[in-house]
Amino acid sequence: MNDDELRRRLTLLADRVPARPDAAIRVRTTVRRRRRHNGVAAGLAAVIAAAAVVVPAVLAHRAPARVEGSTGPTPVPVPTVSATCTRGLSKALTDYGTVQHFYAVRASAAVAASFAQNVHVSGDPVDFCLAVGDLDNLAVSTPPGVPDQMHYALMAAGTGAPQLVYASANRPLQPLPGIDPAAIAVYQPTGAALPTAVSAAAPTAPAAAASSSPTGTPDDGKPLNPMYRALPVTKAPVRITATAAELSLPWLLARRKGDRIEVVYAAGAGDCVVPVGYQVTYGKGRVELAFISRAVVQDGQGCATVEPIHRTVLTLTRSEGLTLLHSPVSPAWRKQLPNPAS
Amino acid sequence: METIVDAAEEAEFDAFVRARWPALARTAYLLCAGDLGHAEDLVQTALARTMRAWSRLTDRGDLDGYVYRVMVRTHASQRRRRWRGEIPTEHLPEPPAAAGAATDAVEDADLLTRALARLTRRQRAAVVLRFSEDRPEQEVADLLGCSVGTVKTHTSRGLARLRELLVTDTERSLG
Repeated sequence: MNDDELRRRLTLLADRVPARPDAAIRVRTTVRRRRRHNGVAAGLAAVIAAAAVVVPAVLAHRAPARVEGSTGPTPVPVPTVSATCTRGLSKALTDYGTVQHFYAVRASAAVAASFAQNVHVSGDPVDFCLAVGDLDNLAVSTPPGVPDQMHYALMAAGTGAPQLVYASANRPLQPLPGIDPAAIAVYQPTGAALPTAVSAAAPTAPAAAASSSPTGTPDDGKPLNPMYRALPVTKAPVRITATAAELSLPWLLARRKGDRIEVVYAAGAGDCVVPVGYQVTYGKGRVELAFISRAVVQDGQGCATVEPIHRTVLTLTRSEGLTLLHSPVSPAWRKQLPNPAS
Repeated sequence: METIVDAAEEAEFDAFVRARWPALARTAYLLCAGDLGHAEDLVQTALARTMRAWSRLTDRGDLDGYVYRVMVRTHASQRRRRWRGEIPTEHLPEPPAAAGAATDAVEDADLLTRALARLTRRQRAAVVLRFSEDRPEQEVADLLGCSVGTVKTHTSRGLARLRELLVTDTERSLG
């Protein structure tokens, strides 16, 4: 066998290798699996697992956050705190229904107070556990068979039993006959769903409901996927005004590199809930991050929306050992619901 | 940890993987002596390490070289891992029966993979990179992290062993 014959036979042998169109996905999976295995970083695993995200971050310069492009301070190790979603809180939240994700939320006392008006929370910052999913037991008045969109429930650990701080839900009212699909289902403090339109000024208005796709949940029952979309926030940073139509939606820290953080966040799809941008609020020793969407309410009626998951990279440049905090989900939803489990 | 952070880098990496996976997999397949599962693991390992280093790989023109270096050296460093299951045997469990072009091709591939599996990892890497990849000796030396002289030695001994094994196996399979 001469050299050319060897080349030919090696080529024929290598021709047996099949194509792998999903090669990039395989590599990512490998990286994620090894990260988890090595315990080097929680990363996107935190989105899938039931834990989450509050991190102390040491940052470098006093400046507003900006999207991409800056050089920052020397990175420091970022421990992930997930103790807020304790076993007890998580279990209490699962009593409300099927939880897709838990988010550990840490907010400053001032922000927490605006959410927990009827529940005493102590400490600064305050830790919550946020559950997102199909939490049917939050209210008993929704007719059976009505498909759910996303629900949110925020729970805090107190001295006694876990306290439900607030909750919200989007429920598409189709295919119920005779119901205006543009109506909003509002969860009142009593936990009752009101399949009626609400005014734009109503402080209890949650995200819009009534899906344009009448069958099933907006994500068709699939779990939230952090790779669903990768789009930058276009209008950022923004200031939240105190209106009921502006919604802070869940986010998770996916990765951190130096002063740059990669964040996975929910945002309106742009029809009835419009992505606005993010808000970074610097305080003494902390920085709070919120992702804002705005519910479009016309003639006193809301409409349907879905909240896809986006991903973006932000640069935080203030130094001084700030702790990165997660603002609770919606200032507009700061209504206490009774805990049906209690 | 250095890693890909932004969407642009991620898209760039994805495009690189899509473009280079086939060639990497072919080489890995030969390096692993026809063990497809091991070969794909090897490529994934090399690309995963590349992904983690992506942000600091400023010389995008040498990405290929970087991945090949990682892959070849990872393969070479795995010599103590016995789970890979490359267990040379003296005889085929069942000699191929029917004749014909397709069978011949399969048989030929089997003979070649069995022969490759009996080379040392360094010999196999040298032969594959020289004769399947057509890489010059200096480049093979760079990939393997050794001198050109060592590459020549590995190639020469590997070729000699390969020819010997192929002749022996062919004669045995013919009966």
